[in-house]
Amino acid sequence: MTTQADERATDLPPEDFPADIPVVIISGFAEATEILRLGSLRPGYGDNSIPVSFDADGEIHIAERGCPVHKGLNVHEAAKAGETVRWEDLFREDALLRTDGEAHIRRRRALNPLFVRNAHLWFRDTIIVPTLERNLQAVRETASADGLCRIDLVPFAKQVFVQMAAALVGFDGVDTTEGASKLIELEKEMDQRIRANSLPPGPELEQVMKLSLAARERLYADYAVPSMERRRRLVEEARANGTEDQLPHDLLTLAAKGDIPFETNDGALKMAIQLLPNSIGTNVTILTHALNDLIRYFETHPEDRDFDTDPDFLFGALRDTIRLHSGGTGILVRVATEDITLTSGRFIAKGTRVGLLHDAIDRDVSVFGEDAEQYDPRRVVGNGVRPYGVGFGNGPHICIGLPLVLGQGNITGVQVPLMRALFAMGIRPDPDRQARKRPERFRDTFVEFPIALNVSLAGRTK
Amino acid sequence: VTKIEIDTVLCQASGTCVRLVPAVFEIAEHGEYACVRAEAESQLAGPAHDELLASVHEAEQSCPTGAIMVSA
Repeated sequence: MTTQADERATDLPPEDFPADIPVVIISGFAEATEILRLGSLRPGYGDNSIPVSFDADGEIHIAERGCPVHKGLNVHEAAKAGETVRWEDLFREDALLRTDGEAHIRRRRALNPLFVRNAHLWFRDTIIVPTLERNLQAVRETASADGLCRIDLVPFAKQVFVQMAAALVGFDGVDTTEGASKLIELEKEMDQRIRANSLPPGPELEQVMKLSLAARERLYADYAVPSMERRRRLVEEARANGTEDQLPHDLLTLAAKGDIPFETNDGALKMAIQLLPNSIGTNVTILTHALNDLIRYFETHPEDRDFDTDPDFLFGALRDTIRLHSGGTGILVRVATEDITLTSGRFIAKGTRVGLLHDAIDRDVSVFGEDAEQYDPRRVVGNGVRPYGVGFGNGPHICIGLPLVLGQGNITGVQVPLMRALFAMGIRPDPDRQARKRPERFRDTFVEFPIALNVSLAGRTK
Repeated sequence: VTKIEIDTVLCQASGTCVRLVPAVFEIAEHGEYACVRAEAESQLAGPAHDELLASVHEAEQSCPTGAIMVSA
């Protein structure tokens, strides 16, 4: 939900790694897990990002790759002062992946209040359930006389997840269709920043950079700043009235209360901007694949169709979908900060870049069985192995949003309730319209997924 | 007696503790969180107590979610 999406921003096929950097490619699960858990291999996030600087008029200039760049916090301030910065850092200044070791652990732990049990319970009861019900009700209202609703699952899922993500970080004004659409559009414009890393210098690159930076500034000014100001007032009022326990458990409120400390004055705002997109795209990808996998599975396993609203069955299905689809063909990158010898005997010299082939690792037959390429919602794996593979990473940089996606203990995550509700409404592909995926080689993402739902079936749950 | 507790709600099974002190920590069967090995108590009472305890404290400090609590 969060950090893995950051890392995949470096999506590069092995042959595209810069020739002057030694590279080791890893495709086995055991070695990958060991590498992800090692403190001496830091994330390579952003290393390939374009160095940029700004002139006095605020015009952006591309610097030469390999030139010295600002590496601390306060990236925007450094850029304004004339320093060269990495393009990605303008958007992910406070990204957990930019830190490692003690600094990373300190910052990561500081975010715990957002994900602990009470916050998660609040999120389930106050956000997940009402958001889902509100959006499903809007769908039901579109039903034709025969009870059928035809929608595109992709924008529907985006709306649901953008509303949940906005509630998680504390952005106001997103719980309506109009509010969600506005934020989705802004997020889409900001997301263009990823394209910038693969464009050659020229007018298109300049345009993409301007668009994505402007979107980031609007997200900051129109959402982050006013939402934070409102939360500071809410906290003051709650303290005066003795009603602090009724405050929301979102990121900005916890920051306004002082429960989550930040190292810079606007650290919470920057973190909110960073968490928001990471909480949307990955969840939409997971949901669409989870539903597609199951719909296809039921075609060949009709005996399991009765389990389509069984939370335990859906949870197993979700985990195998994450194993098969979360990586796309992306690469998790690590850089060795010292000489390392893995348990397997493989030696990795200091400075070597290690590319973990996400797809291959999560299809390792020695861990997931001879049928590792196949989808199996009832898959059983060996002791100590996560059924979803390295879909959330592993080690100190494991995805911070994991509990909210999958749930923790008996508290549900965001995916299963949505899958369950859609199967309860008899979800099936729209027979008149084809689903469509992104054409890019390295993305396994639906851009259109037309479905039909039957409102007369609502309430059919286990 | 050294008491080691893992908050299984906070724990995300990053495996940091297992890497640092495999004699004391392991990932639970289902892979969802770490747990203290059954034989950890006897290990901690053994001759390598001081060295092992220092590693356990390092694991406590290194856990990315702060899920490990060590008390005497």
